[in-house]
Parts: sequence; C-alpha cells; structure tokens
Amino acid sequence: MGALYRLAYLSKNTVKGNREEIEAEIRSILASSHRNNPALGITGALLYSGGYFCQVIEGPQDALEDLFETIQMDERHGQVTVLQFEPIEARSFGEWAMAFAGIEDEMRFDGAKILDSKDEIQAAETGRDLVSTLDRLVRQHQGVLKPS
Amino acid sequence: MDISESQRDPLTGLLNRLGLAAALQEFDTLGRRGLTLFSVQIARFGHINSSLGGEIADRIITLTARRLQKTFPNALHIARTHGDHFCLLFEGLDAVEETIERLDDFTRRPFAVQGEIIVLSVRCGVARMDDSLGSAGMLLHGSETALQVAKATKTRASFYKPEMEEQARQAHRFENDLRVSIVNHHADLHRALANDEFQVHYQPIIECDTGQLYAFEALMRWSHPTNGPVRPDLFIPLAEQIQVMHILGSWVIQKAIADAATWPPRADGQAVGVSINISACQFIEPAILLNTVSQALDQTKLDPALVKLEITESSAFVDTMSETLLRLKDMGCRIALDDFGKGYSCLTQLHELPLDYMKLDRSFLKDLESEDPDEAMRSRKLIQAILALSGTFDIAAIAEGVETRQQLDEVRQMGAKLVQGFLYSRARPASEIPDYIKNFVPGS
Repeated sequence: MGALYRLAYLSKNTVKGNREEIEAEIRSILASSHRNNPALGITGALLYSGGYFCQVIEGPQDALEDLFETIQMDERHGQVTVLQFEPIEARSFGEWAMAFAGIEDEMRFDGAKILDSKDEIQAAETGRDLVSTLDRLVRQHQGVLKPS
Repeated sequence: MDISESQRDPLTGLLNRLGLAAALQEFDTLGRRGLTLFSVQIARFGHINSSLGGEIADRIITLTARRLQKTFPNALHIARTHGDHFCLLFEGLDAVEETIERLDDFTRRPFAVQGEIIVLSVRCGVARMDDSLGSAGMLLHGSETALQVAKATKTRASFYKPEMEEQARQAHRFENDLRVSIVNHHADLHRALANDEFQVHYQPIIECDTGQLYAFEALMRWSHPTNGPVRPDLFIPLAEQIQVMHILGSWVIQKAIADAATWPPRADGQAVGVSINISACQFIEPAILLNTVSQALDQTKLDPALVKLEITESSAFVDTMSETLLRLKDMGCRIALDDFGKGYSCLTQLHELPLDYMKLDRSFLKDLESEDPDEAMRSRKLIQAILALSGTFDIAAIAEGVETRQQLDEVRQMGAKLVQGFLYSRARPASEIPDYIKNFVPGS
C-alpha cells in the first residue's frame, strides 16, 4: 500500500473544443475517476481553469504513482507540471473519489509562467495555493456537484 | 519471428540488442524496405542511478519502456539495446519530425517514483533505409552514429548522413593520437629525453603604468605528428575529457618553472614571473598538483612569488579548490582567476578564493571596438564595473587580448594593472624568451 501521499499538478488541455465538448470531456474524466478510484484508495479534486486541468490526487503512494503515470500517458494532458508531491497525515478530499471544483474561463493560476519556469519555490507555493483553492471551491460546491 | 529468452531484456520484456539485430536481419531476408530506426538515449541517466539508486533507476527504465510502447503503437519493434538506450523501428514512417516531437513530449513528462518526481530528457539518432544505408542491418549502426552526433552537438535529434562516418573516424583518430602522444611524451619525460610534440610557448604580460615586462604566460602547444599544430582550445578539452590532462598539466608546471628559473632579469634587475594555467581536473587530485609545484620550486630554487597559477571559474570544485589554493599560497605562489566575466561568473568566488589577480575575458575587449555603439558602450560599462570590483577586492586586473593602442589606452584608463596581447607579442617558443627579455624596451 505505502504511506499516504498527495500530488498536485497542472496540465494543459490538449483537446480543442467548445464549452459543451469540454464539459463532456470533464464528465468522462470524473466518471472514470468515480469508477476506478475507490478501489485504489484514491481521493481528490479537479478544477478546469482557462484551458488547464488543476488536479489534486491523494492516496497510498504506490496507487498514486500508478495513477499519475496513467494520467501522464493520457493524450488529453500536455505540459504536465507537478506542483506538490509529499507525504500527508490526512486527506483533504477524503469524501470524494474526485470532487469537481468547477470550470472557469480564465486560468486562476499563472499556468504558462509556472510551466515555463523551473522555479521550485514558485511551484511549491502554487501547489499549496491549488490545494487550498480546490478545498474552498469544493466546499462551496458541496451538495450542488457532489456525485451520487 | 520467434524470440528466444536470450533476445529479450529481462527488466522490460523488450527486445535486447541481440533481438533487435536478429529482427533487422530478418527484415533484410524478407527484402523489406522503407524502415526507419531511432536510437534513443536518456540524458544523464547515470546521474539518476548514482544519486537515487538502482531500484528507482530500474523503475524508470521500466516506465520509459511502457511509455514508448503506449506512445508508439505503430512501431514494428521497440528494443532496449543497452542500459539507458532504446531503439524504435518503424516502417513507412513519413512523419519523422512529428515522431521526434512525440518522443520528446512523452519522455519529458514527469515520473513519480518512490516519492520522487523525476523529469528526463532524451536525445536521439535517426537512420532511414536509403542509398547510403541499403540494408536493415546497417540501420542500428547508422542511428547510433547519428545519436553520437546529437550528443556531441547537444541537439535533441540528429539524422544519419554518410559523412558522419568519416567525421567519427577522424574524431576517434584524433583522440587516439592525443593519447599516444601523451603516453609517449610521458614515457620520454621519465627517460629525460626531449620530445617536440608538446611544447610550451610564452606570451609576455606587461605592466600598464611602466610599460615594463612583468611576466610570461605559459601556453601549451601540441604539434600533431602528421597534421601539424593543433589549437589548444581543441586538444585541451579533449585531454580533460579522456582524463589525461593531469599528465600534461603536471608537465607544464615542471617545464614552465624550470624555464622561468633560467630567464635573465630585466634591465632594472627585477626578475620576470611565469603564469601557468591549471585545469579544473588537476584539482580532483590536489596532492599531485601540490607535489608537482613544490618539487619544481625545490629543484629550481625559483622564487615562488614569481609563480602565478591561473585557474578558471568552476563552481564544481570550489570547496577543494579553495583549500588547495590556500596551500599553494602558503608555498608563496600567486593565484589568478582566468577568463573572468565569461559564462557564469560567480561574484562570491572573488572573496571565497584567495585571489591575487583576475584576468578580464578577452571577449570584452573585442566588443569594445564593436561597430554597434550600444554594444561598445555596454562592453565599456562592464569592463569599468569589473575593474572597479577588482579594485574593491584588491585583486590586480589583467586585460587579455589587447591588440590595439586604443584598447590599451582604454583599459589602462579604466584601471587595468597589467595587459597582454598581440599589441606586444604573440606567444613565443621557450628558446626565444631569454633574448626577448634582454632586448625588451619598456614602452608606455
């Protein structure tokens, strides 16, 4: 199983489409998360912000690393940047196979800058920011978007 | 094709080198054309292996193999031909550039392995079956030759061309000749025989204020047995790369100190110093460097204050370097930082290293005479700033590459203490130096 870890990353959506198509794509990502994650002990949250996937996943280290590798090999994700990968005491999104934090037209994090720069401190700060933002957004959306 | 156990890589389950060679041979038997082979190497994989351990390294190899399989379902074969080397074989591949792009994209994506995030980069060599590579069997050699070129030129990808063979042969021959020359030279040193292949030439360093001769910089020359003189910027990096620089470096120290001990004094009775370049490699084994200098000083009785050792900026060895330099200073030698301002100059070195001199990189002087007034101005400001810095740290500045009177006047005005360059003299053979000193007329 391995210790409990959290991984936060940004990736650019490589699939072009209108809002409806993007929503359909996100529904498909969430559906497969809800199908697969519980058995793997993975929880997390996803925000779609200005063309970027902003995702936090947490779970046992081995399962998390395997899932991350699967995400990496997904053609829909480009320019994957890991913002945080560290052991945690407790989950932030324990109730959610994959909580959905919404779709935003404007990227709330400076994605391009983070993807271009190799500044680890900036990445770590954005990682913490991403986790807390997702946490807040998920709480706001609770009851509205909670999967059945 | 039937694949035996001996043709598979046990870690990844991919074909190994033997298996790929057999597959290529089979394609030849079948008369298949239009094949393209990619040889791919993970950059700096040895570093991952040594820093993170074999288990993580093996996992990365396994994941890379999986990524390649998933990313290139159109490949006829994917093989792991060697530790961090993979090969991809395609048939009828038109989109070569796109394939390189895809290879780069998917291998650059981060790996999460045992709590670590690891990002790789790869280089590749590409060989296609065409007139110059008429058989599938020749592709592996072709793609690996192209990979070597990609590595040497630090490019992401390189395409096989027949002339690469000759270039590779020449490079190999050159490297081998250098080894042979150094080994012969080394043997001759022990037999105390003269050997003309390596020589030390000397270029004068002049005092700005008085126009007096101050010292000579010792510069190594290699005369290739058949090709003639080889530029130091070609053979010294090679000697460092093939790990023979310490032999040459020690010889130059002995030779330059011995030569300097025989030089006559200037007309005013002052002795003339010698400046010797020390390669960063020589700091890997500081004991050899320290012994060589101290023995040469003992044998010649040359005043250690006349010996200036020139080092180049190299952050990699700062710790050991600093300690070794202090020991050299204890012996009475002087230390100069060469090529200051070139590349990534680190200002902290100015006070961390026990420096007596710094040499302003010659590129600044070249830019001073640029036709672009902005560039000339920028260069002037940089020189001023560096010279001011040398004054602050009480380090004497030497301007290299002075070729014109105008350059001399400018750097002198800006505070350079010493100059060297073609304006005074090129580097001269050791035999000419005593007369050069005797006949030197101080100018201003």
